[in-house]
Amino acid sequence: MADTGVFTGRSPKDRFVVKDANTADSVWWGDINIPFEADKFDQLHAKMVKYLEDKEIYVRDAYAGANPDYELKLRVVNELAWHNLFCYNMFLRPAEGADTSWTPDFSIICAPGFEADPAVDGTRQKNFAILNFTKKMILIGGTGYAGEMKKGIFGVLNYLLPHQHNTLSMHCSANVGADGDTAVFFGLSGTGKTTLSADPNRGLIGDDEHGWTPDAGIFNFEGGCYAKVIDLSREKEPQIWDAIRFGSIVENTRFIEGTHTVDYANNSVTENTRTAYPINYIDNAIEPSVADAPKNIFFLTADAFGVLPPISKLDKSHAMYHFMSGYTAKVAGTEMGVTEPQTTFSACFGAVFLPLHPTKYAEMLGQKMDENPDVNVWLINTGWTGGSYGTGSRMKLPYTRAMITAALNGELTDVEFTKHPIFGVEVPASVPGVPTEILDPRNTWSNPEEYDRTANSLAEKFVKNFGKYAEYANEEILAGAPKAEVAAGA
Amino acid sequence: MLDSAANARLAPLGISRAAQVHLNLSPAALVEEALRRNEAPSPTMGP
Repeated sequence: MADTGVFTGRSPKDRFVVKDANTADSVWWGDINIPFEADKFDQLHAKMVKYLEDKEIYVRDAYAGANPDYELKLRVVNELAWHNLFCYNMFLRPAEGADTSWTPDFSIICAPGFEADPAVDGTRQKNFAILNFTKKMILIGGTGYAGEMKKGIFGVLNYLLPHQHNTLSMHCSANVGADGDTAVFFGLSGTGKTTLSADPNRGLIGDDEHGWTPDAGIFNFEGGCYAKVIDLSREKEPQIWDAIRFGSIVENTRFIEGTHTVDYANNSVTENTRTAYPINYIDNAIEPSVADAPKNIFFLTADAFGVLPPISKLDKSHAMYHFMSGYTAKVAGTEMGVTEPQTTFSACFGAVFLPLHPTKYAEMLGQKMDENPDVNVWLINTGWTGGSYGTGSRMKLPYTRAMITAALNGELTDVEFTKHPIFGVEVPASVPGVPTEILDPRNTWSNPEEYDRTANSLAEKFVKNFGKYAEYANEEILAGAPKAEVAAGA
Repeated sequence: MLDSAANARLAPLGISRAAQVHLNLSPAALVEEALRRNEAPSPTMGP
Protein backbone atom coordinates (compact mmCIF):
# COMPACT_ATOMS: atom_id res chain seq x y z
CA MET A 1 0.00 0.00 0.00
CA ALA A 2 1.44 3.34 -0.98
CA ASP A 3 0.42 6.98 -0.98
CA THR A 4 1.05 9.16 -4.00
CA GLY A 5 1.22 12.36 -1.96
CA VAL A 6 -0.33 15.67 -2.92
CA PHE A 7 -1.23 14.46 -6.39
CA THR A 8 -3.73 11.62 -6.42
CA GLY A 9 -4.27 11.78 -10.17
CA ARG A 10 -2.53 13.01 -13.26
CA SER A 11 -2.00 16.72 -13.62
CA PRO A 12 -2.93 17.50 -17.26
CA LYS A 13 -2.12 21.20 -16.97
CA ASP A 14 1.46 20.31 -16.09
CA ARG A 15 2.01 17.94 -19.00
CA PHE A 16 4.25 19.36 -21.67
CA VAL A 17 5.72 18.30 -25.02
CA VAL A 18 9.02 19.70 -26.24
CA LYS A 19 8.40 21.75 -29.37
CA ASP A 20 11.28 21.53 -31.77
CA ALA A 21 11.97 20.86 -35.45
CA ASN A 22 10.93 17.24 -34.94
CA THR A 23 7.50 17.99 -33.50
CA ALA A 24 6.58 21.55 -34.48
CA ASP A 25 4.48 20.52 -37.48
CA SER A 26 3.20 17.15 -36.29
CA VAL A 27 1.96 17.60 -32.72
CA TRP A 28 -1.56 18.86 -31.97
CA TRP A 29 -0.52 21.89 -29.90
CA GLY A 30 -2.87 23.46 -27.38
CA ASP A 31 -4.19 22.87 -23.87
CA ILE A 32 -3.53 19.11 -24.12
CA ASN A 33 -0.08 19.19 -25.67
CA ILE A 34 1.43 22.26 -24.08
CA PRO A 35 4.63 23.33 -25.85
CA PHE A 36 7.87 23.33 -23.87
CA GLU A 37 11.20 24.83 -24.92
CA ALA A 38 13.99 22.36 -25.72
CA ASP A 39 16.62 24.29 -23.79
CA LYS A 40 14.37 24.40 -20.73
CA PHE A 41 14.04 20.62 -20.98
CA ASP A 42 17.82 20.28 -21.07
CA GLN A 43 18.09 22.59 -18.07
CA LEU A 44 15.59 20.54 -16.07
CA HIS A 45 17.25 17.30 -17.11
CA ALA A 46 20.62 18.57 -15.86
CA LYS A 47 19.07 19.65 -12.56
CA MET A 48 17.37 16.27 -12.09
CA VAL A 49 20.61 14.42 -12.81
CA LYS A 50 22.35 16.58 -10.23
CA TYR A 51 19.50 15.97 -7.74
CA LEU A 52 19.85 12.20 -8.12
CA GLU A 53 23.64 12.15 -7.58
CA ASP A 54 23.34 11.50 -3.85
CA LYS A 55 20.21 9.36 -4.01
CA GLU A 56 19.65 5.64 -4.19
CA ILE A 57 17.97 5.02 -7.52
CA TYR A 58 15.99 2.11 -8.90
CA VAL A 59 16.47 1.21 -12.55
CA ARG A 60 14.04 -0.92 -14.55
CA ASP A 61 14.49 -2.34 -18.03
CA ALA A 62 11.12 -3.13 -19.56
CA TYR A 63 9.24 -2.65 -22.75
CA ALA A 64 5.88 -1.53 -24.07
CA GLY A 65 4.03 -3.28 -26.89
CA ALA A 66 3.28 -7.01 -26.79
CA ASN A 67 3.88 -7.39 -30.54
CA PRO A 68 7.68 -7.66 -31.00
CA ASP A 69 7.49 -5.77 -34.30
CA TYR A 70 6.15 -2.71 -32.52
CA GLU A 71 7.76 -2.93 -29.10
CA LEU A 72 9.35 0.05 -27.43
CA LYS A 73 12.37 -0.77 -25.28
CA LEU A 74 12.23 1.23 -22.08
CA ARG A 75 14.53 2.24 -19.28
CA VAL A 76 13.04 3.82 -16.18
CA VAL A 77 14.97 5.55 -13.40
CA ASN A 78 13.01 5.93 -10.19
CA GLU A 79 13.70 7.75 -6.97
CA LEU A 80 11.11 5.56 -5.20
CA ALA A 81 11.29 1.78 -4.88
CA TRP A 82 7.50 1.42 -5.07
CA HIS A 83 7.45 3.39 -8.32
CA ASN A 84 9.92 0.87 -9.74
CA LEU A 85 7.61 -1.95 -8.63
CA PHE A 86 4.78 -0.09 -10.38
CA CYS A 87 6.86 -0.15 -13.58
CA TYR A 88 7.56 -3.86 -13.12
CA ASN A 89 3.82 -4.48 -12.79
CA MET A 90 2.59 -2.17 -15.54
CA PHE A 91 5.14 -2.46 -18.33
CA LEU A 92 6.02 -5.67 -20.15
CA ARG A 93 8.61 -7.76 -18.39
CA PRO A 94 11.59 -9.16 -20.32
CA ALA A 95 11.93 -12.93 -20.28
CA GLU A 96 13.91 -14.44 -17.43
CA GLY A 97 17.61 -14.13 -18.20
CA ALA A 98 17.11 -11.92 -21.24
CA ASP A 99 19.88 -9.43 -22.05
CA THR A 100 18.40 -6.03 -21.32
CA SER A 101 21.54 -3.97 -21.68
CA TRP A 102 19.88 -2.34 -24.66
CA THR A 103 19.95 1.21 -25.82
CA PRO A 104 16.41 2.19 -24.90
CA ASP A 105 13.93 3.48 -27.43
CA PHE A 106 12.54 5.72 -24.71
CA SER A 107 13.48 6.53 -21.12
CA ILE A 108 11.76 7.92 -18.06
CA ILE A 109 13.41 9.76 -15.21
CA CYS A 110 10.90 10.07 -12.38
CA ALA A 111 11.91 11.94 -9.23
CA PRO A 112 8.91 12.96 -7.09
CA GLY A 113 11.19 14.72 -4.60
CA PHE A 114 12.59 17.03 -7.26
CA GLU A 115 10.58 20.20 -7.73
CA ALA A 116 10.94 22.66 -10.56
CA ASP A 117 11.29 26.38 -10.08
CA PRO A 118 8.55 27.66 -12.40
CA ALA A 119 10.11 31.09 -12.81
CA VAL A 120 13.39 29.59 -13.97
CA ASP A 121 12.41 26.25 -15.49
CA GLY A 122 9.40 27.21 -17.59
CA THR A 123 6.90 24.97 -15.85
CA ARG A 124 3.48 26.06 -14.56
CA GLN A 125 4.21 24.94 -11.02
CA LYS A 126 6.62 22.68 -9.16
CA ASN A 127 5.36 19.41 -10.66
CA PHE A 128 5.75 18.46 -14.29
CA ALA A 129 5.68 15.66 -16.85
CA ILE A 130 7.52 16.52 -20.05
CA LEU A 131 7.74 14.40 -23.22
CA ASN A 132 10.71 14.95 -25.49
CA PHE A 133 10.41 12.99 -28.75
CA THR A 134 13.81 14.12 -29.98
CA LYS A 135 15.71 13.15 -26.83
CA LYS A 136 13.37 10.14 -26.46
CA MET A 137 12.91 10.88 -22.79
CA ILE A 138 10.18 11.73 -20.29
CA LEU A 139 10.99 13.81 -17.22
CA ILE A 140 8.60 13.59 -14.28
CA GLY A 141 9.11 15.57 -11.11
CA GLY A 142 7.25 16.99 -8.13
CA THR A 143 4.50 14.38 -8.23
CA GLY A 144 4.25 10.90 -6.77
CA TYR A 145 1.34 9.84 -8.95
CA ALA A 146 2.72 6.72 -10.61
CA GLY A 147 0.14 6.83 -13.41
CA GLU A 148 2.12 9.71 -14.96
CA MET A 149 4.72 7.12 -16.06
CA LYS A 150 2.21 4.74 -17.59
CA LYS A 151 0.30 7.46 -19.39
CA GLY A 152 3.53 9.13 -20.44
CA ILE A 153 4.51 6.05 -22.43
CA PHE A 154 0.95 5.81 -23.76
CA GLY A 155 1.38 9.34 -25.08
CA VAL A 156 4.64 8.33 -26.72
CA LEU A 157 3.03 5.36 -28.47
CA ASN A 158 0.05 7.50 -29.47
CA TYR A 159 2.56 9.62 -31.37
CA LEU A 160 4.95 7.03 -32.76
CA LEU A 161 2.55 4.29 -33.88
CA PRO A 162 0.18 6.32 -36.09
CA HIS A 163 2.92 8.71 -37.18
CA GLN A 164 5.60 6.16 -38.08
CA HIS A 165 3.99 2.70 -38.23
CA ASN A 166 0.50 3.22 -39.67
CA THR A 167 -0.84 1.61 -36.51
CA LEU A 168 -3.90 2.93 -34.72
CA SER A 169 -3.26 3.44 -31.01
CA MET A 170 -6.38 3.08 -28.92
CA HIS A 171 -7.51 3.94 -25.39
CA CYS A 172 -9.58 0.81 -24.97
CA SER A 173 -9.87 -2.55 -23.27
CA ALA A 174 -9.89 -5.76 -25.31
CA ASN A 175 -10.90 -9.37 -24.96
CA VAL A 176 -11.14 -12.42 -27.18
CA GLY A 177 -13.66 -15.25 -27.46
CA ALA A 178 -13.04 -18.97 -27.62
CA ASP A 179 -13.14 -18.92 -31.43
CA GLY A 180 -10.64 -16.08 -31.61
CA ASP A 181 -13.08 -13.21 -32.20
CA THR A 182 -11.71 -9.98 -30.78
CA ALA A 183 -13.71 -7.19 -29.16
CA VAL A 184 -12.46 -3.77 -28.09
CA PHE A 185 -14.19 -1.40 -25.66
CA PHE A 186 -13.60 2.34 -25.83
CA GLY A 187 -14.90 4.51 -23.05
CA LEU A 188 -14.05 7.32 -20.71
CA SER A 189 -13.66 6.79 -16.99
CA GLY A 190 -16.83 5.45 -15.38
CA THR A 191 -18.44 4.05 -18.52
CA GLY A 192 -17.61 0.40 -17.80
CA LYS A 193 -14.50 -0.18 -19.90
CA THR A 194 -12.83 -2.43 -17.34
CA THR A 195 -16.03 -4.01 -16.01
CA LEU A 196 -17.45 -5.00 -19.39
CA SER A 197 -14.18 -6.36 -20.76
CA ALA A 198 -13.86 -8.62 -17.69
CA ASP A 199 -15.85 -11.57 -18.99
CA PRO A 200 -15.25 -15.04 -17.58
CA ASN A 201 -16.13 -16.52 -20.97
CA ARG A 202 -13.53 -14.48 -22.85
CA GLY A 203 -9.77 -14.06 -22.51
CA LEU A 204 -8.51 -10.64 -21.45
CA ILE A 205 -6.02 -8.99 -23.82
CA GLY A 206 -5.74 -5.79 -21.81
CA ASP A 207 -7.78 -3.20 -19.96
CA ASP A 208 -6.56 0.18 -21.21
CA GLU A 209 -4.11 0.65 -24.11
CA HIS A 210 -3.85 -1.19 -27.43
CA GLY A 211 -2.55 -0.86 -30.96
CA TRP A 212 -4.20 -2.05 -34.20
CA THR A 213 -1.56 -2.84 -36.79
CA PRO A 214 -1.97 -2.85 -40.59
CA ASP A 215 -1.61 -6.63 -40.82
CA ALA A 216 -1.18 -8.30 -37.44
CA GLY A 217 -4.31 -7.54 -35.44
CA ILE A 218 -4.16 -5.86 -32.07
CA PHE A 219 -1.68 -5.89 -29.22
CA ASN A 220 -1.62 -4.63 -25.67
CA PHE A 221 0.88 -1.89 -24.87
CA GLU A 222 1.13 -2.90 -21.24
CA GLY A 223 1.98 -5.84 -19.04
CA GLY A 224 -0.38 -4.94 -16.24
CA CYS A 225 -3.62 -3.35 -15.14
CA TYR A 226 -4.21 -0.14 -13.22
CA ALA A 227 -7.72 -0.54 -11.90
CA LYS A 228 -9.90 1.65 -9.73
CA VAL A 229 -10.66 0.11 -6.34
CA ILE A 230 -13.03 2.53 -4.67
CA ASP A 231 -15.82 0.44 -3.12
CA LEU A 232 -14.23 -2.70 -4.58
CA SER A 233 -15.91 -5.94 -3.57
CA ARG A 234 -15.49 -9.53 -4.61
CA GLU A 235 -19.11 -9.59 -5.79
CA LYS A 236 -18.73 -6.59 -8.11
CA GLU A 237 -15.23 -7.19 -9.50
CA PRO A 238 -14.07 -10.73 -8.69
CA GLN A 239 -11.15 -10.66 -11.14
CA ILE A 240 -9.71 -7.44 -9.73
CA TRP A 241 -10.32 -8.60 -6.16
CA ASP A 242 -8.45 -11.83 -6.77
CA ALA A 243 -5.61 -10.01 -8.52
CA ILE A 244 -4.72 -8.06 -5.40
CA ARG A 245 -2.06 -10.19 -3.81
CA PHE A 246 1.61 -9.94 -2.82
CA GLY A 247 3.38 -7.65 -5.28
CA SER A 248 0.27 -5.72 -6.26
CA ILE A 249 0.30 -2.05 -5.34
CA VAL A 250 -2.73 -0.44 -3.76
CA GLU A 251 -2.63 3.34 -3.90
CA ASN A 252 -4.16 5.90 -1.56
CA THR A 253 -6.31 3.42 0.35
CA ARG A 254 -6.41 2.88 4.12
CA PHE A 255 -6.52 -0.21 6.32
CA ILE A 256 -9.51 -0.93 8.52
CA GLU A 257 -8.21 0.35 11.84
CA GLY A 258 -6.23 -2.20 13.80
CA THR A 259 -6.03 -4.63 10.90
CA HIS A 260 -4.14 -5.20 7.67
CA THR A 261 -7.41 -5.44 5.77
CA VAL A 262 -7.87 -2.79 3.12
CA ASP A 263 -10.93 -0.59 3.55
CA TYR A 264 -11.97 -0.10 -0.06
CA ALA A 265 -14.84 2.15 0.95
CA ASN A 266 -12.39 4.64 2.42
CA ASN A 267 -12.22 7.72 0.22
CA SER A 268 -10.53 9.93 2.79
CA VAL A 269 -7.53 10.44 0.50
CA THR A 270 -9.27 10.38 -2.88
CA GLU A 271 -12.02 8.72 -4.89
CA ASN A 272 -9.29 7.72 -7.34
CA THR A 273 -7.88 4.83 -5.33
CA ARG A 274 -6.09 2.33 -7.58
CA THR A 275 -4.35 -0.99 -7.76
CA ALA A 276 -1.52 -1.94 -10.13
CA TYR A 277 -0.78 -5.60 -10.79
CA PRO A 278 0.78 -7.75 -13.55
CA ILE A 279 -1.77 -8.90 -16.10
CA ASN A 280 -1.00 -12.54 -15.33
CA TYR A 281 -2.65 -11.97 -11.95
CA ILE A 282 -5.92 -12.12 -13.94
CA ASP A 283 -6.80 -15.79 -14.40
CA ASN A 284 -8.07 -15.60 -17.98
CA ALA A 285 -5.52 -13.13 -19.30
CA ILE A 286 -4.04 -14.06 -22.68
CA GLU A 287 -0.25 -13.96 -22.98
CA PRO A 288 1.29 -12.73 -25.13
CA SER A 289 -1.39 -10.05 -25.19
CA VAL A 290 -2.10 -10.14 -28.90
CA ALA A 291 -5.22 -11.02 -30.91
CA ASP A 292 -6.72 -10.80 -34.37
CA ALA A 293 -8.25 -7.60 -35.73
CA PRO A 294 -11.48 -6.72 -33.89
CA LYS A 295 -14.74 -8.21 -35.06
CA ASN A 296 -16.71 -5.95 -32.72
CA ILE A 297 -15.94 -2.45 -31.48
CA PHE A 298 -17.93 -0.99 -28.59
CA PHE A 299 -18.08 2.70 -27.75
CA LEU A 300 -19.23 2.95 -24.13
CA THR A 301 -21.01 6.05 -22.91
CA ALA A 302 -22.75 6.75 -19.62
CA ASP A 303 -25.40 9.10 -20.99
CA ALA A 304 -26.90 10.71 -17.90
CA PHE A 305 -29.45 12.50 -20.10
CA GLY A 306 -31.09 9.14 -20.88
CA VAL A 307 -31.24 10.01 -24.58
CA LEU A 308 -29.02 7.51 -26.37
CA PRO A 309 -30.32 3.98 -26.99
CA PRO A 310 -28.84 1.29 -24.74
CA ILE A 311 -27.40 -0.36 -27.85
CA SER A 312 -27.18 0.89 -31.42
CA LYS A 313 -25.15 0.01 -34.47
CA LEU A 314 -23.00 2.59 -36.23
CA ASP A 315 -22.07 2.83 -39.89
CA LYS A 316 -18.64 4.14 -40.83
CA SER A 317 -19.62 7.82 -40.73
CA HIS A 318 -21.32 7.56 -37.37
CA ALA A 319 -18.45 5.46 -36.02
CA MET A 320 -15.87 8.08 -36.96
CA TYR A 321 -18.07 10.93 -35.71
CA HIS A 322 -18.72 9.30 -32.33
CA PHE A 323 -15.07 8.27 -32.08
CA MET A 324 -14.01 11.87 -32.53
CA SER A 325 -16.72 13.11 -30.18
CA GLY A 326 -15.89 10.67 -27.36
CA TYR A 327 -19.05 11.52 -25.46
CA THR A 328 -20.13 10.68 -21.98
CA ALA A 329 -22.04 12.61 -19.32
CA LYS A 330 -21.20 12.99 -15.70
CA VAL A 331 -23.60 13.51 -12.89
CA ALA A 332 -22.81 16.83 -11.34
CA GLY A 333 -21.74 16.94 -7.74
CA THR A 334 -24.33 18.38 -5.43
CA GLU A 335 -21.68 20.59 -3.89
CA MET A 336 -21.57 22.49 -7.16
CA GLY A 337 -25.23 23.35 -6.82
CA VAL A 338 -25.84 21.94 -10.29
CA THR A 339 -28.46 19.28 -10.79
CA GLU A 340 -28.24 18.75 -14.55
CA PRO A 341 -25.83 16.19 -16.00
CA GLN A 342 -22.66 17.63 -17.50
CA THR A 343 -21.55 16.55 -20.96
CA THR A 344 -17.97 15.42 -21.40
CA PHE A 345 -16.46 15.15 -24.86
CA SER A 346 -12.98 13.66 -25.10
CA ALA A 347 -11.82 12.91 -28.64
CA CYS A 348 -11.13 9.25 -29.35
CA PHE A 349 -12.23 8.53 -25.77
CA GLY A 350 -8.89 9.79 -24.54
CA ALA A 351 -8.05 13.24 -25.91
CA VAL A 352 -5.67 14.04 -23.08
CA PHE A 353 -3.30 11.33 -24.33
CA LEU A 354 -3.30 12.29 -28.02
CA PRO A 355 -0.22 14.06 -29.36
CA LEU A 356 -1.67 14.12 -32.89
CA HIS A 357 -4.85 15.78 -34.08
CA PRO A 358 -7.94 13.59 -33.39
CA THR A 359 -8.82 13.47 -37.08
CA LYS A 360 -5.67 11.41 -37.64
CA TYR A 361 -6.97 8.66 -35.34
CA ALA A 362 -10.57 8.90 -36.66
CA GLU A 363 -9.45 8.59 -40.26
CA MET A 364 -7.33 5.58 -39.31
CA LEU A 365 -10.38 3.99 -37.69
CA GLY A 366 -12.32 4.58 -40.92
CA GLN A 367 -9.47 3.02 -42.87
CA LYS A 368 -9.53 0.00 -40.56
CA MET A 369 -13.27 -0.35 -41.13
CA ASP A 370 -12.68 -0.31 -44.90
CA GLU A 371 -9.97 -2.95 -44.58
CA ASN A 372 -12.13 -5.08 -42.25
CA PRO A 373 -15.63 -4.80 -43.74
CA ASP A 374 -17.07 -7.39 -41.34
CA VAL A 375 -16.27 -5.33 -38.25
CA ASN A 376 -19.32 -4.12 -36.30
CA VAL A 377 -19.27 -0.87 -34.35
CA TRP A 378 -21.73 -0.48 -31.49
CA LEU A 379 -22.64 2.45 -29.27
CA ILE A 380 -23.55 1.23 -25.80
CA ASN A 381 -25.25 3.53 -23.31
CA THR A 382 -24.49 2.29 -19.81
CA GLY A 383 -26.08 5.43 -18.38
CA TRP A 384 -29.68 6.35 -17.78
CA THR A 385 -32.99 5.06 -19.12
CA GLY A 386 -36.54 6.28 -18.57
CA GLY A 387 -35.44 9.87 -18.16
CA SER A 388 -32.39 11.91 -17.30
CA TYR A 389 -30.46 11.54 -14.06
CA GLY A 390 -32.86 12.39 -11.24
CA THR A 391 -35.90 11.02 -13.06
CA GLY A 392 -34.76 7.88 -14.83
CA SER A 393 -32.69 5.01 -13.55
CA ARG A 394 -29.27 3.59 -14.35
CA MET A 395 -29.27 0.91 -17.03
CA LYS A 396 -29.05 -2.47 -15.34
CA LEU A 397 -25.64 -4.07 -15.80
CA PRO A 398 -27.10 -7.53 -16.62
CA TYR A 399 -29.03 -5.94 -19.51
CA THR A 400 -25.89 -4.23 -20.80
CA ARG A 401 -23.99 -7.49 -20.55
CA ALA A 402 -26.80 -9.30 -22.40
CA MET A 403 -26.69 -6.73 -25.20
CA ILE A 404 -22.93 -7.04 -25.57
CA THR A 405 -23.13 -10.83 -25.47
CA ALA A 406 -25.80 -10.78 -28.18
CA ALA A 407 -23.63 -8.56 -30.36
CA LEU A 408 -20.59 -10.76 -29.78
CA ASN A 409 -22.52 -13.93 -30.57
CA GLY A 410 -23.92 -12.55 -33.81
CA GLU A 411 -27.46 -12.71 -32.45
CA LEU A 412 -28.26 -9.25 -33.82
CA THR A 413 -27.30 -10.07 -37.37
CA ASP A 414 -30.84 -10.84 -38.53
CA VAL A 415 -32.68 -8.45 -36.25
CA GLU A 416 -34.61 -5.52 -37.69
CA PHE A 417 -33.04 -2.11 -37.04
CA THR A 418 -34.64 1.34 -37.00
CA LYS A 419 -32.72 4.56 -37.56
CA HIS A 420 -32.82 6.94 -34.61
CA PRO A 421 -34.44 10.15 -35.95
CA ILE A 422 -31.91 12.51 -34.39
CA PHE A 423 -28.67 10.61 -33.93
CA GLY A 424 -29.02 8.45 -37.05
CA VAL A 425 -27.74 5.33 -35.31
CA GLU A 426 -29.44 1.98 -35.95
CA VAL A 427 -31.50 0.67 -33.02
CA PRO A 428 -32.29 -3.07 -32.87
CA ALA A 429 -35.93 -4.08 -32.46
CA SER A 430 -35.06 -6.92 -30.10
CA VAL A 431 -32.13 -8.30 -28.14
CA PRO A 432 -32.20 -11.71 -26.45
CA GLY A 433 -32.52 -11.39 -22.69
CA VAL A 434 -33.42 -7.70 -22.76
CA PRO A 435 -36.93 -6.21 -22.43
CA THR A 436 -37.87 -4.88 -25.86
CA GLU A 437 -39.46 -1.75 -24.42
CA ILE A 438 -36.14 -0.35 -23.17
CA LEU A 439 -34.41 -0.50 -26.57
CA ASP A 440 -36.05 2.66 -27.90
CA PRO A 441 -35.28 5.28 -25.24
CA ARG A 442 -38.24 7.48 -26.27
CA ASN A 443 -40.57 4.67 -25.20
CA THR A 444 -39.09 4.64 -21.72
CA TRP A 445 -39.84 8.29 -20.97
CA SER A 446 -43.21 9.12 -19.40
CA ASN A 447 -43.27 12.28 -21.52
CA PRO A 448 -42.05 11.55 -25.09
CA GLU A 449 -42.09 15.25 -26.00
CA GLU A 450 -39.70 15.91 -23.16
CA TYR A 451 -37.48 13.17 -24.56
CA ASP A 452 -37.50 14.92 -27.95
CA ARG A 453 -36.52 18.23 -26.36
CA THR A 454 -33.73 16.62 -24.33
CA ALA A 455 -32.47 14.62 -27.32
CA ASN A 456 -32.42 17.76 -29.43
CA SER A 457 -30.52 19.61 -26.73
CA LEU A 458 -27.96 16.82 -26.50
CA ALA A 459 -27.60 16.77 -30.28
CA GLU A 460 -26.88 20.49 -30.22
CA LYS A 461 -24.17 19.87 -27.65
CA PHE A 462 -22.61 17.26 -29.96
CA VAL A 463 -22.68 19.69 -32.88
CA LYS A 464 -21.29 22.55 -30.81
CA ASN A 465 -18.45 20.36 -29.50
CA PHE A 466 -17.62 19.13 -32.98
CA GLY A 467 -17.31 22.68 -34.23
CA LYS A 468 -13.67 22.78 -33.18
CA TYR A 469 -12.90 19.84 -35.46
CA ALA A 470 -15.21 20.70 -38.34
CA GLU A 471 -12.61 22.38 -40.53
CA TYR A 472 -10.33 19.33 -40.23
CA ALA A 473 -12.98 16.63 -40.66
CA ASN A 474 -13.95 15.30 -44.06
CA GLU A 475 -17.52 15.02 -45.35
CA GLU A 476 -17.72 11.34 -44.47
CA ILE A 477 -17.09 12.08 -40.80
CA LEU A 478 -19.46 15.06 -40.81
CA ALA A 479 -22.21 12.83 -42.24
CA GLY A 480 -22.30 11.07 -38.87
CA ALA A 481 -23.42 14.19 -37.01
CA PRO A 482 -26.81 14.19 -35.26
CA LYS A 483 -29.59 16.08 -37.00
CA ALA A 484 -30.66 18.44 -34.30
CA GLU A 485 -33.07 20.27 -36.60
CA VAL A 486 -35.13 17.08 -36.98
CA ALA A 487 -35.92 17.19 -33.29
CA ALA A 488 -36.52 20.91 -33.40
CA GLY A 489 -39.20 20.37 -36.00
CA ALA A 490 -40.66 17.30 -34.38
CA MET B 1 31.06 6.27 -9.74
CA LEU B 2 28.78 3.62 -11.14
CA ASP B 3 29.70 0.02 -11.81
CA SER B 4 29.92 -1.04 -15.42
CA ALA B 5 26.41 -2.53 -15.68
CA ALA B 6 24.83 0.56 -14.19
CA ASN B 7 27.01 2.90 -16.17
CA ALA B 8 26.12 1.18 -19.44
CA ARG B 9 22.45 1.69 -18.71
CA LEU B 10 22.57 5.17 -17.24
CA ALA B 11 25.14 6.91 -19.43
CA PRO B 12 22.64 7.27 -22.31
CA LEU B 13 20.35 9.05 -19.85
CA GLY B 14 23.09 11.45 -18.81
CA ILE B 15 23.39 9.94 -15.34
CA SER B 16 26.95 9.27 -14.19
CA ARG B 17 26.62 9.34 -10.40
CA ALA B 18 24.23 8.05 -7.74
CA ALA B 19 24.54 7.00 -4.13
CA GLN B 20 23.49 3.48 -5.09
CA VAL B 21 21.91 1.89 -8.16
CA HIS B 22 19.41 -0.94 -7.75
CA LEU B 23 19.12 -2.66 -11.09
CA ASN B 24 16.04 -4.66 -12.06
CA LEU B 25 15.21 -5.80 -8.54
CA SER B 26 12.62 -8.52 -8.06
CA PRO B 27 9.16 -7.56 -6.77
CA ALA B 28 9.97 -9.06 -3.37
CA ALA B 29 13.18 -7.04 -3.15
CA LEU B 30 11.36 -3.87 -4.15
CA VAL B 31 8.72 -4.45 -1.47
CA GLU B 32 11.51 -4.83 1.07
CA GLU B 33 13.15 -1.64 -0.19
CA ALA B 34 9.87 0.27 0.00
CA LEU B 35 9.38 -0.88 3.58
CA ARG B 36 12.98 -0.12 4.56
CA ARG B 37 12.62 3.40 3.22
CA ASN B 38 9.19 3.89 4.81
CA GLU B 39 7.63 4.45 1.39
CA ALA B 40 4.80 2.06 2.22
CA PRO B 41 3.21 1.21 5.58
CA SER B 42 2.77 -2.50 4.88
CA PRO B 43 3.16 -5.07 2.14
CA THR B 44 -0.06 -5.80 0.29
CA MET B 45 -1.01 -9.36 1.14
CA GLY B 46 -4.44 -9.36 -0.48
CA PRO B 47 -7.85 -8.06 0.53
